[in-house]
Amino acid sequence: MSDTALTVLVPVDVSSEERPDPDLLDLLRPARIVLVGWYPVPDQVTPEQMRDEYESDAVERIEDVAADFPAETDVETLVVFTPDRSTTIDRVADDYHAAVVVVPRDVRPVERVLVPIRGDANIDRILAVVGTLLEESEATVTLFHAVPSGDEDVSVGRTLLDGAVDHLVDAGVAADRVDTAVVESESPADDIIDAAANHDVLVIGETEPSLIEHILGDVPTRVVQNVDRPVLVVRNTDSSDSE
Amino acid sequence: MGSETETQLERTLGLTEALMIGIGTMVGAGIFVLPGAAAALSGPASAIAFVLAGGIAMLTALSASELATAMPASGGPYHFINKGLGPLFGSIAGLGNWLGLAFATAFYAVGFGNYVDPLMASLELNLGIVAAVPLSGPQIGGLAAAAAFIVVNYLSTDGTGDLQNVIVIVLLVILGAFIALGATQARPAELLPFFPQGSGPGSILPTTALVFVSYLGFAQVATVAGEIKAPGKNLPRAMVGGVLLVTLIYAASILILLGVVPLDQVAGEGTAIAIGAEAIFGGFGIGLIGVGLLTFGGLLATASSANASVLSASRINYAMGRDGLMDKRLSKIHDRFNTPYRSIALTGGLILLFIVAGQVNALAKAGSVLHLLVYGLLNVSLIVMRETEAMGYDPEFELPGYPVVPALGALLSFALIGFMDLQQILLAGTLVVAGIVWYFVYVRKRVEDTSALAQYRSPPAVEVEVAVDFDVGPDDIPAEDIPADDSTTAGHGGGAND
Repeated sequence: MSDTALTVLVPVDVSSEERPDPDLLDLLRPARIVLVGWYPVPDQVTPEQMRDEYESDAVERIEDVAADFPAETDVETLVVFTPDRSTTIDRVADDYHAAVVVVPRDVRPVERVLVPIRGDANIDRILAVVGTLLEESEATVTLFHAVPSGDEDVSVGRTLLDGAVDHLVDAGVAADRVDTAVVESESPADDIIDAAANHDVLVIGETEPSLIEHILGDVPTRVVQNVDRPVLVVRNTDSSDSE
Repeated sequence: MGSETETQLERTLGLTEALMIGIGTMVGAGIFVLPGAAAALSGPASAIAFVLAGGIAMLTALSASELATAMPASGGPYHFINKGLGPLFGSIAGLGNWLGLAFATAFYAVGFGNYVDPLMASLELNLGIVAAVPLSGPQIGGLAAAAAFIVVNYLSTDGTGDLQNVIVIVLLVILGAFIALGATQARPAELLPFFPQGSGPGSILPTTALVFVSYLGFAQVATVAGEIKAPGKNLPRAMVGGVLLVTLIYAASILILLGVVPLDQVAGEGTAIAIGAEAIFGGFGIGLIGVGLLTFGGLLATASSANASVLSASRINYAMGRDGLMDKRLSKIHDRFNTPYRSIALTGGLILLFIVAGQVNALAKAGSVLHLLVYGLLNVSLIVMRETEAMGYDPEFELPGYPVVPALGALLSFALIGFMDLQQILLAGTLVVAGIVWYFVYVRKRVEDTSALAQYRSPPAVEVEVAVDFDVGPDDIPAEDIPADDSTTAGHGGGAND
C-alpha cells in the first residue's frame, strides 16, 4: 500500500525548453507522478490573459514531457498559470497529497543517491521514499549525517544511521548498496553541498525553519540552491499517508 | 498518454496582499498631492470633503465587492457593467474606466513631479529653464516619471508586485509618525474658522469632487479578483477595509496639518504635507528629517499609484478585447517581454499627452469624473443583476442594505459629477457620446448582447447550450474548442449559466 501512496510532484517551466532528465525519470518509475507545467505570469498581464494566449502551447509541452516517462509510470499532467512558482508548487503538492517535490536538474545515470539525515527531521518519511525508489533501481545510497561540532557525540549519529540502514534493508534494499558517513561539521549545509558533488541525486527532508533559519536560510533551502544535482524534497506533512 | 491536462489559474493574493494593492494605489494622492489644493478651497472643512468622498467610495466598494465575487474575471468595474447592462453601457464604461485611469496616472505623475521639482531646484537644476518648452517643473518631472513607468512596464520587470508591500508599509510608518507627532502639537484654535470665510460650507461638495480621485484605488482590488484567495471573504474585507483606513488617514492628516501650520502657508501648495512636516518634526528639532521623510513618502506614493494605474489601464484593454468591444490586437502580448506592449504604449502615449495638456487639479477632476460615471453605472448594474435574477448570478458576498446602498451609491456618484467644473462635465458628456458612437460603429455588428438586462427583456427561447449537449454529431468537438480562442463572449456567457 505504501508503494502506491508515494506521489511525486515534478514541476516543469513550460514557458521554456526545460525538461526533466530521462535518467531522473527512470528513478521515479515506482512513484505516481504529478507533472505540473507552470507558466510564469508577469505583473503586467493577468493569469487569464496568459491562459488565453498560451494554453495550447503549455498543454502540448507538458504532454510532450509526460511522454518521456517510462511507459508504465502513472503520470498525471496539469498546467498552472501563476505569478508565483513556489505558491503553486506548495498548493498543488497539498492538493495532490504529494510526499516529494522534485527540483529537476541535469543528471548522469543515477548510480549514487545522497541522503542527508538530521536527527530531528522526518526521517521515517525520507527513508520510505528512498526505499520505494531504490527497490527498482541499481543505485547505491549514502546516508549522511553532519554533527554540528561540539554539539553532540559522534556515536549518536552512528546509532541514528545504523537504524536508518536497517530501515532500508527491511524495505528491500540490499545492505551492500547502503553506505553511511558521519562527519563533524562547522556548517552542515556546506558539507552536504560538498558531498553532493560525488552523487547523482539528493533526497532531502523539508524542515520547519526556525526563526534564525528564516533569517539566515535553512539548511535544505541552502542545499537546494547551491547544488547542481536534482533534489527530491520530502515534504513535512502527513498528507501523503491519507490516500 | 493522450490524458486530459487540466489548466488552472493560481490565486496568489491573500488578504494582506489585496489590502496592500488597494491602499498602495489610494494613499498616494489624497495626502501627498491634494491637501494643499483642498485646503485652498475649503480650509479645515476639507476634512469633511475627504470623509464624504470616502463615503461615496465605500458605497461603490460594497457593490463592487458583491459583483466581483459573482464574476471574478479581469476587467473590474468595466466587466461588471458589461455583464449587467450590455455592450452599449459596456462601451461607455470601458472607455471611461480606461481613460479615467490614464487621467489619474497623469495626475499621479504630476504629483510626483511636484516632489521632484524642489529637489532639482535645490541641486540648482531648474527644470523650468527649458524656455523653448512651455511646461512647468512638475510637468517635466511628471513626464520623465511617467515615461519611466511606461518603459519599465513595456519591457516587463518582475517583482514590482513584491515591492508593493514594502512600499505600503514604509508609507504607513511615515504617515503614522506624521500623525502621532502632529497630534501633540495641533491646536484646535488653528482650525477656526472651520469653513472658509467666502464660500462657507458650500465649498465642500466641489472639494469632494476634487478629492474623489484619492479613492480610485479600491477598484484596483476588483480588477485582480481572479487572483485573490478565498475571494468571498477577502475581497470585501480588502476593499472596505482599505477605503476605511485611507479615509481615516486622509481626514486625520489634513486636520493635523492645518492644526499646526497656518492655512495660508499650505493653501494651493503641491507639497503641503512636506511643509507641514517641517513644522511638526521641527517641533522636535528634526525638521529636516521630517521634510526628507515626507518628500521620500510623496515620491514613493505617487510612483506606486502611477505604476498600478498604468497596469490596470492595460488590463481593461484586454478585457474589452476579450469581450469583442475593442480590437484584440491591441492587447497582444509581446513575444519576448511577455507584456501587453501595444496597450501599454497607447495608454502611455495618452498619459504623456494629458500631462502636457492639463494642470494638476484638472487632471484630478478628469480622472474622478470618468470614474464617477463608471461607478454610478456599476451600482446600477448590481441593481439590475439582483432585480432581473440574472442567470448564474450567485455572489459569495452579498452587500448589506440592499437596495438603499447601491441606489445611494449610483445617485451620489452621478450627483457628484454636477459639482465638477464645466470642463469636466463636458468631458464626461463627450465620453458618453463617444461610447455610444463606438458602440454603433464598431461593437454592435460584432457582439451579441448577452447581458442580464438583455436576457430579462427578451429571454432566449431555447437554451442553446442544452441543445449542443444532446447533439452527438461530429460538430460537437469543434464547438467545444471555439470559445477557448475565438468568441470568448459566448464561452463566458455559457459558463455563467452553470
